[in-house]
Amino acid sequence: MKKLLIAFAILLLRPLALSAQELPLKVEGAWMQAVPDVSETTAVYMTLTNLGKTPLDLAGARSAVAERIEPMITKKDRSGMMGMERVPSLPIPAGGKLVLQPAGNHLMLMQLRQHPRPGEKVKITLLINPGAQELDLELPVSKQAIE
Amino acid sequence: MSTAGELKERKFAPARQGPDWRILVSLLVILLAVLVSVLWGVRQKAQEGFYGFRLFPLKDAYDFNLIDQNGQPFQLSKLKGKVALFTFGFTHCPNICPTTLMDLATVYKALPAADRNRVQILFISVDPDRDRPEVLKNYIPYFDPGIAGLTGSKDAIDRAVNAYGASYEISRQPGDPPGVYSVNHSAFTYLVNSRRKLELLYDYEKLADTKRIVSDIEKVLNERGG
Repeated sequence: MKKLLIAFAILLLRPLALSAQELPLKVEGAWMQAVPDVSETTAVYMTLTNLGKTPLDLAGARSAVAERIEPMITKKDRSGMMGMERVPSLPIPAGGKLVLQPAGNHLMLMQLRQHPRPGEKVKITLLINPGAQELDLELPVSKQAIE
Repeated sequence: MSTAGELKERKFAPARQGPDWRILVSLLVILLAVLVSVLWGVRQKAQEGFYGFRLFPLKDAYDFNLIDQNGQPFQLSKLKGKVALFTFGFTHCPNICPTTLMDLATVYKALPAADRNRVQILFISVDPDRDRPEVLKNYIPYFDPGIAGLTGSKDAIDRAVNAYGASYEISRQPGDPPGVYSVNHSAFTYLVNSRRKLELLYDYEKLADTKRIVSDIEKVLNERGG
């Protein structure tokens, strides 16, 4: 019965976006790559630190600015050829970090609906598993990494 | 099947007959160490203190036959004494290309004004189907109006790619709508000096160090007359 109640509580909570305080995640250095209007894609970068004791997964994100936002890994083969590969999720180990950075893992924004300008802010909701939890962020748009 | 006794005999027999293998191995190790340090020394000298990987000997730079963002034919030979810094990419690229272009734009802006006229930064598309000149015209100046975007026939692009040891491949992922694809590509930046010799190579990760790249360019331009 207790389990059922917890499950019900989770179901109730599901549609609500959790704030950073509720999810044991610290977000640092988040930014979106500003791109010209002709671009259909861009990427979002940040460092996520899992302050909790259970592993988490970044399963993707959603935002008004793009049709789709998916986790990607960047691979480099022996000849120096770089490419990316879509993955179902990117792990954020318990007590560890997930670094999203140019030339590395990133969230790719596809079929852009808007092209925010450098200096503007965009709202993005991260999808975190387990439990399909959501984390609302507002991050700056920049042409270059924000130090 | 051999018995333990036979094995033992075989193992010790050569030591009694031939020269001591331990001396041979030691000599080989010393020879290898000398060879490695000589090669290392030669490499260091060839580097001449440059931050980018310096080719030794310098290689004649292949002159490509491409079209710029204004639809005009473009060749390295038209740069007349300028240093060219270029990279391969495509405009639908979400992370590598914008970062590379921003890094190169930052390098360009950091150059003394007088030297900026002697340097041309180029972005060569490996996705000519989508990257028409008009697309490049709307993409490249966003990073810096001084950068030229190049495209062309697949054949001309392939020749340039091969000549510079670059590579690319179209990559389609399951679930992508038709017409949606990505391009995997090598991410080196090449410096061709004013005598049209390929001189320096930069790995993607090296591009963020603006100061050292500016210093390399200054060195190529000034110390040795470009």
